[in-house]
Amino acid sequence: MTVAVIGAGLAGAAAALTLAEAGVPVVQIAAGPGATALSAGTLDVAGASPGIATLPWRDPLRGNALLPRERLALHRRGAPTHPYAQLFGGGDEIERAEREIEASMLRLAGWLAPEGLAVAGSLAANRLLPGVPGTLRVADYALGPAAGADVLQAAELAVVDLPALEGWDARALARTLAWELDALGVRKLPLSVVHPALPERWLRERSPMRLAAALDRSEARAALAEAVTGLGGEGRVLLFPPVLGLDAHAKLIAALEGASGARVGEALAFPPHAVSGYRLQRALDAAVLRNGIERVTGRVHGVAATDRERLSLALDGAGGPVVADAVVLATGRFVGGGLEAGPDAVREPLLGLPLYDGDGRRIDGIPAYRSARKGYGNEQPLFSAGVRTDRRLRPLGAQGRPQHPRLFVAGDLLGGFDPARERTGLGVALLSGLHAGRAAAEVLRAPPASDVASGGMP
Amino acid sequence: MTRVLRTRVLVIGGGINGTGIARDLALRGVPVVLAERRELGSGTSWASSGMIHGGLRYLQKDPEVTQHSCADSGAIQRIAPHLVFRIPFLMPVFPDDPLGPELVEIGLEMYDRYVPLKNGRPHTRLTRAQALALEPALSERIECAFTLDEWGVDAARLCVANALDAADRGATVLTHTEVVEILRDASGRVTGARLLDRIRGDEAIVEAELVMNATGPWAPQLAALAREELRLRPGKGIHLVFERRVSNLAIYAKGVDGRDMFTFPHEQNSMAGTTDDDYYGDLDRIDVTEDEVAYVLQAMQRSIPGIREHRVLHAIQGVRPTLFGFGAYEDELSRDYEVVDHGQSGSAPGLYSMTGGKLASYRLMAEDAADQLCAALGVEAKCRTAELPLPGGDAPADLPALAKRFGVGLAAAARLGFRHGGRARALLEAADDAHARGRRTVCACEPVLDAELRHVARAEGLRKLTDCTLRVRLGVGACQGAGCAASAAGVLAEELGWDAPRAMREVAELAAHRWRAVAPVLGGAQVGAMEIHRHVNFGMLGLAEEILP
Repeated sequence: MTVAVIGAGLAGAAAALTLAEAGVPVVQIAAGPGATALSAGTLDVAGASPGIATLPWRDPLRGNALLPRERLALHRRGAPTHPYAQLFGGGDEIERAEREIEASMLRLAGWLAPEGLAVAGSLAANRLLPGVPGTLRVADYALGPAAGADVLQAAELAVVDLPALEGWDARALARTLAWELDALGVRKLPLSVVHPALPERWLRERSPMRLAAALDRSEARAALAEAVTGLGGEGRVLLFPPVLGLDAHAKLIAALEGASGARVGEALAFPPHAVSGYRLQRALDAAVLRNGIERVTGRVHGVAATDRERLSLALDGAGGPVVADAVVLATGRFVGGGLEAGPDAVREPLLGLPLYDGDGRRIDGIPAYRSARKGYGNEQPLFSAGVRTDRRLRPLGAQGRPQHPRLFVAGDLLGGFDPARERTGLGVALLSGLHAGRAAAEVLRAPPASDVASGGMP
Repeated sequence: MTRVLRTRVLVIGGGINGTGIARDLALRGVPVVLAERRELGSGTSWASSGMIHGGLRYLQKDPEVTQHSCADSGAIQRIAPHLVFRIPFLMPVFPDDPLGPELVEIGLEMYDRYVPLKNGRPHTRLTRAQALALEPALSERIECAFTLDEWGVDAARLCVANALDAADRGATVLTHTEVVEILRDASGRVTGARLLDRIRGDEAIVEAELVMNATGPWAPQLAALAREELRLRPGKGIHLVFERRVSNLAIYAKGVDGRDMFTFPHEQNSMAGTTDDDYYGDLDRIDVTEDEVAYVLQAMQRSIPGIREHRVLHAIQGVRPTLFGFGAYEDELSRDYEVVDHGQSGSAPGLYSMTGGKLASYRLMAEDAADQLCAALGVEAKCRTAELPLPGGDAPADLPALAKRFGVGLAAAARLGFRHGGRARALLEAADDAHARGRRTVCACEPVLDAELRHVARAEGLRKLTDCTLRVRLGVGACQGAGCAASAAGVLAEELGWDAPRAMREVAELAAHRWRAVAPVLGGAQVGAMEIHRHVNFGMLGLAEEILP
């Protein structure tokens, strides 16, 4: 009895870990890191109101920000195609959804903790986190280094200048941030730009990834700690670019906080900064290995039903197909490779599953450019596209029935929502990954009643 | 109070014709004001293939045009060596082509007579095997192939270089400035124009002895402001821009209707095109259609069978200001351009219009137009545009030395040297503060340094973030501005005094601008790139519908 999970992002890892913890043998197959490795540092459950691209306080609700749990309720009621409607139902049992989210975040925290990566947040309060460009982003849950920069928890904020670093402009960040704070009506927060006396080689470093790797070393830790000594103060936050180490970030941040006396936070990542997502991906990979999950690196190029109880996966390279007793597809959307925009049509490449946009229209079978609407700000069907499922996250085939009794879907491949505008991407990944893992474990445990009856076993 | 500028010639239009004429006049000591409604070169010039070709196609009907084109190509290489790059062409001959190899070669032998004028090499004839070895992307169906030499140029930078030189010699260059009224005296003589600054919203009056309408496809609209009729045969053309080089050499292709087209390396990319269709739609909102894209890809596929596997980044589109006449395509018209004196052809003395024209011999046409204007003004100074270098064209930049001295990557130094020639060094020096901030990479795709953005804001009169796509090719690479827009807006905010909401509006405009360019050809890996683009712009920057144009 083996379950194959396809995909290495948060959705795939959550499904694989759930299965492993339930005692089900799992093989996780992925060609490379998931789109999770590009994430910003937040773990949004309900980042924005559904259908509203703006922060809640930039819309008519200005000054009266919705709490995460209130936004969550809107997602469930207001967006029937959103995966949350499927996961939690549309009824009034909001507490059940909240309890599940809180429990899920605790489980994630447990998986990430051995790598020193903390999860912070709640549904009862907003965090206001500055991004690399100085814009503020409302968040519910975030990873430790990013959560440290919450401006709602700061009495004063000092932006660390690293003049050569690509994508980091401390002065521009401070200007934009000052305006954002003012526009949002957040209380006055003294802002400054500080220039720690850093070794010349770091001041000249252009690449965020190279700098982060360099800062993993213990002598680098000591040198950086010395450079920030005396930069602290009561309630002060030192805002760094997301470069504070790849693996040893927790140690480095502790050392910097100890030396400076200030709280240390990282701005939310933004291309070309990819350090935050990279850390999350590494910690998930480590959790997968720690839990005895077999990891296969390779590209799956087809999934087919062997019979009603097994599926076979065709892999690139040598060796025969992998046969599994259940499959979880956590292949993502276009970045992850779960959806492909071929010359003639958008398609789900592994099974050719039908794809639907947020309005419930089929979107596979036509080329990407034909479904692209003119205005950038318009709702774009292409970017809310994905598969439809039943309540157990089994993808529906063309007839509207589950494609296979033991095929499940998690993460961005689920259609009906626009993760960029609604900012529920990693929340959906985590929750649907856990659901899909549980559903796969259940189906393997359940007696195959009808099949036994018709199978004519003596 | 409305500002009043007095000058001798008001040139309207900041494309290659307008900037070329303004520079020519300025070099002759004639006071000029140039008004461009958007960004320099943002109309037809930018949408061209960016080729300084020698006019092979004119050989049959008018070899004199070929001679002029080749000679002028040579002149442009002399005055702007930094902006020009060699493009060797491969012309495959298929068994079912109307002309066999021998006839094609006779034409190329004729062309070889003019090729030395533009520093090209004579053609060579390649066997099928040689051609396939040289360019493996080529179709195996070919019978043989020929090589010939042409030259490419950054057309937008060529416009900027002409405008900068004009400004260095006393001209006033106004961008994002629209003509809202043509002024005339009691006798009906054109005496200038009322201008609107589209960013600041204020107006100015320019009083001029002559007004030159060099607005390309907009020329009839501008002439209509003076109640003059001007007829064009506007021809829309599109190009597809590939994310990287599809082939090492430019490759000829034939449209299904027999038109010549090409795929050619251009700067960091390859481009494929072009089309030629009558266009009477909105010149400020030209859409690329599915039919046009299919037509281009179909033509390219015959020469390069794998073309559809390459990633198309975006499309570019524009409208040629072709002279009016009955004929199938622009190629079949015998004349290239015409300078219309509205005192002769109509009843608006003082107003001139340039119609037709092409990038490759812009300098020659500007010379002709300036000769006519100078004759009317009684100015006797002769044209000097073929002798004097354009800004940065006087001395080549020592790229390895530049990279070493300022600690920037060689690729960044090379692009800087390409766009700014001999001015690259001073540009880096000017922006190099104590923290070496000027060396920071802002756009990694191109790449563009902080110092270059500061330079175009301080010394080149840049006014909008969106215009950086033309000035420095920012935001036109794989990420389409996802990684650089906010960073670049931060630098420009500092240089141009933008507040945060203005900077954010500029970012939103750029995002929408890139989506318009990408959407008509969206497919393949670019869909993933646009997925990230949306995550950055909506998720991270929180761009809202109300500020998206």
